[in-house]
Amino acid sequence: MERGTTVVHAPAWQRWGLVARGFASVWLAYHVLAMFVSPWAVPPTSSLAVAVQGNVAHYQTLLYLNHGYRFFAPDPGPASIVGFTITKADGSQFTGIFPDRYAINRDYPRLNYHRWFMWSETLGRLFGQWVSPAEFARYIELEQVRVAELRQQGLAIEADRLVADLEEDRRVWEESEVARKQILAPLARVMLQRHQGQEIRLTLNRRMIPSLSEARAGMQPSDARLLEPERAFELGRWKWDETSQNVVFVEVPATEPAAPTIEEIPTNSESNQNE
Amino acid sequence: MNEPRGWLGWNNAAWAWVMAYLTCSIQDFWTGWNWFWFTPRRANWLGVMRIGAGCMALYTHAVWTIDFEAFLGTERMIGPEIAPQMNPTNWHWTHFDWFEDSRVLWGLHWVALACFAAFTIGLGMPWTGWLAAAFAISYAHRATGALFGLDQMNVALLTYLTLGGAGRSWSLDQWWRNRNTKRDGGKQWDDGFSVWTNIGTRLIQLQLCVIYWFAGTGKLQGVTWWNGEALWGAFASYQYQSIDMTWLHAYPEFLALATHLTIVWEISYVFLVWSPRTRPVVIAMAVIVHAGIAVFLGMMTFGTIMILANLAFIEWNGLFPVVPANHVSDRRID
Repeated sequence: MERGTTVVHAPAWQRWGLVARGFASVWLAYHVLAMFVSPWAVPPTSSLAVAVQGNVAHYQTLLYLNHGYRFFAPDPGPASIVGFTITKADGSQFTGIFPDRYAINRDYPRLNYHRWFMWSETLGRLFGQWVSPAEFARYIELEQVRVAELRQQGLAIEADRLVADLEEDRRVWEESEVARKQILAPLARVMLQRHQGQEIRLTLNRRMIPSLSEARAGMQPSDARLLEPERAFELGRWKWDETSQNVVFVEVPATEPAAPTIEEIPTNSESNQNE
Repeated sequence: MNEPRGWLGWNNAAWAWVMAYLTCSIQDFWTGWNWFWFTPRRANWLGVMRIGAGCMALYTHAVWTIDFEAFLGTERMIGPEIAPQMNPTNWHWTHFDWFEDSRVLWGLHWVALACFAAFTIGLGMPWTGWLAAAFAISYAHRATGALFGLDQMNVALLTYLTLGGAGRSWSLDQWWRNRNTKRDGGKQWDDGFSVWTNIGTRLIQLQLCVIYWFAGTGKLQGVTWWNGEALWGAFASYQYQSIDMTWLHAYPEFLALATHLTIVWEISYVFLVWSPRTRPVVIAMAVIVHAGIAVFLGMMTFGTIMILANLAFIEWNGLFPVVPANHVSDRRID
């Protein structure tokens, strides 16, 4: 090499030509946008996030990028527990819950237990705010009284807005009712088949977390009082239909109490969702 | 003498300065973008990560075998009706929808497990890797409702490691090529440098930044992350706990400190992990937090795979160098 000659290496990133880097850059920018916008669009969010999300939603779904990443957020909360009471052909009843900590050794490995736990959490998220038909009818009745009062006071605009809100509430509630019956029917069928039952009643409960002061007073996380039985409610009843070899939804009379209690299954119980 | 005035009443010198500034900024951005994405990288470290991620994917999907019929089979308890509730579009494809015969689904389950095993040992890559990623997505779309962070990370790692050519190192493929080359008396096969390896690594790194950023900012909406009781809530959750840590109620200040450190770490991760000075601390915190989740909260699989993913920030040549190891110096041509 001659003296005074300066050797300048090309940047390593020029291994790919400009065109290849250009195409790759467009795809990478789109992919990173899709990766970012999914958690960004989780409510509460802006209309901008929702608009961007709409443009990348197919791509996210295709590659399984549509996640919120809200681990233990906004707060570690109560766990959802699904209870079931199965009536067999001889009239005997069989109860159980999932996830079942008492059955954790039978649900080994832990990942299998966690699958059942996540399933109950999903059902809790979907139906935790469920309003029964009787409660919804009562709500509509009360709101209609308010509409009549508003009209009597000459507040027509407010009354019209309330009527529109009620119509929207009714639409959402009716859709959620259809979804509830459709989503829970396969669960009811699997449980009836596993336990050779004729009828099943599904319930949803929450297990609260003891506060620091409650723990200092001696309360354990497994304390039965944390199950809040008064908050438990019935998700629905299904019975086995021999003709169709499937389950049929059973309408519950509105007069019947719809708030069963769920109790922990004793350690020596035969009950287990995974038997 | 008045200077000539241009648009908006600015003089031409001001416009020249603005244009020069913008031009330099765009050039700098383009150079930085190219350096970040397209600097070739050795596949060694991704090869190591591939073994770990493959083991996790194989184990995760093997566990589905226990309750295969309930979660994935033709008569499963998670029906298709739930998909619209969980997915924004109807593109949630799954191979389980294509077959109605239970025996076929079981057969494909064993094929999927074989793909995960092949990915782990680096056999038939990248095709087995793409198949493994496709199977992982397909399982996730089928079992919607019973998933958690583990499944999200499984898919991300399988996809990005395959894209990054992780099968080029620490693999049976590499061993086989080396053996054939030696037998033929040629030069030993070199796994070399690859731009794809860098892209795969960068995508894992960015995926982690997105996860921690939103996990952290999402917690800012909660009360217990501010009053210092959030970690207590996690430890005292009966359905999660695997080791009883409720004796910590006697040390509320420690719980508060751990809570605040967790959220500070999550939110600052995206800013601090890129600097060689702060990276060791950030990655050490990641290991501590995820080991805690694994041991105390019963999520051994999730904790393990998150620690594995964080290895993407560790370089093969030395633990924490700033610049990826290059075989060509990265000087700009001016």
